[in-house]
Amino acid sequence: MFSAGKLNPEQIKKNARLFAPAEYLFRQGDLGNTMFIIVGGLIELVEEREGKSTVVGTFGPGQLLGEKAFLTDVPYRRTFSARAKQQTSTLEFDRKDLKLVETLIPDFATRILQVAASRLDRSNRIIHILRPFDPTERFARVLIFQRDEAGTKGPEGIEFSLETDDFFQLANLDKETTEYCLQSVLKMNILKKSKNGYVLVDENALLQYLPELKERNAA
Amino acid sequence: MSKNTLLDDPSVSKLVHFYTQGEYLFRQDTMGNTMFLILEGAVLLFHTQHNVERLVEIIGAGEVLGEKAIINEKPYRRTFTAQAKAAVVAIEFDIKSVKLIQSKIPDFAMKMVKMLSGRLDQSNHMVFILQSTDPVDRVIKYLIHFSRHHSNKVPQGMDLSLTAAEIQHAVNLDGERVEIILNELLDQKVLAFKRGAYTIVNEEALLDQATSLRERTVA
Repeated sequence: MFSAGKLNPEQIKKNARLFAPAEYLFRQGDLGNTMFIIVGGLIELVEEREGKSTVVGTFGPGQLLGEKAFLTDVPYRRTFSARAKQQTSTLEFDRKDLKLVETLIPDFATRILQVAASRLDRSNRIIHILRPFDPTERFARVLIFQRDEAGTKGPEGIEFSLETDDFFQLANLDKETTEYCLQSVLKMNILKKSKNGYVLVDENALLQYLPELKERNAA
Repeated sequence: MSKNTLLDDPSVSKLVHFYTQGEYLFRQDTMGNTMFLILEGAVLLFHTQHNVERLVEIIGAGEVLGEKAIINEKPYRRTFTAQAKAAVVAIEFDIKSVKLIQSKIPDFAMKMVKMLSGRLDQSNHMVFILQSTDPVDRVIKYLIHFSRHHSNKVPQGMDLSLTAAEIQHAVNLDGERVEIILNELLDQKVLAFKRGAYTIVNEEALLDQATSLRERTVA
């Protein structure tokens, strides 16, 4: 966590940015090399593709946004849009402020290194999802990915949410295939609905069921 | 970052390790919470699955490995085996040691982050390639991606030093399919083949080939 107490009023005035609900911090495709620290409120990260906007992440107090832009030496094109979900206060910094950021957040260097490592890991895991040509195999890999990436411990096991959009974005799967596979694994009790989403009951059974699911889906 | 600057400081020098050729930095499935920056030499990365060991990557001086182990403080199960290809000098650190190194080499973490960002760009590009479920598309996009990041300029074009097997593995297609596509590209003279590896003769023509080649290889 950072401590805004270390900023003098002059600096707060210089770096503070306030956003009203639905106001954009930046838009996908914009050039910008600044990073935001969220002080209060919530920010949604939005991907805009083919005229459709999809929320791909939500950020709250103490979290950083745009570290990659901040670290890049060349003009950086924002890969997503960032929009205030509610009244939000932030501090905006560019590379010239690195020293200041390091005093505000003493573990900034290690944190940003962890952020970079986990982003690379996430990207590599998406590569793992996408490698198979067979859609049912990609489907199964999304289930395991979502459980590991977004799962939380609940009374019935590790719960995670699943949206058709997740399948489309992570695995390039169409709605029809996704629905078919989803219904099939639910019927086989490999996956079950829980209070806050889904629980993967048996990973081994899922992998064993794949050849059959593949055949049926093709039929 | 030279070996000598790191060895000068006793608190950092204890993180510097020497490995003889063939020695292991770590083995797959063992637990670890450290990453490595290779200062000298090269490291072979192997992955074993269903009792078959495969060389995944060669990591050279100035590059990092094991970065997944620092994402959080929990011990991490290694997914690869790392073995010294020749005599290796490496600095091995966990997330807590980053602060220590940082106090001696102030831009250490930033340099690591930059390296990981470069790898992230490449991984993200690979995601883009694999999102294509069309075999011809995958092969052509991969050849161009590889040419931009790893090729050497030669009089005939861009030397990829890639074998058919390596291409096949990267795009995850069966060997026969890849061979048909590569042979078509050789026939069209957009690719050349010498001493077991491929060269892109004409990148623009390679892109142009995508549509017509798709039709021909399907037929």
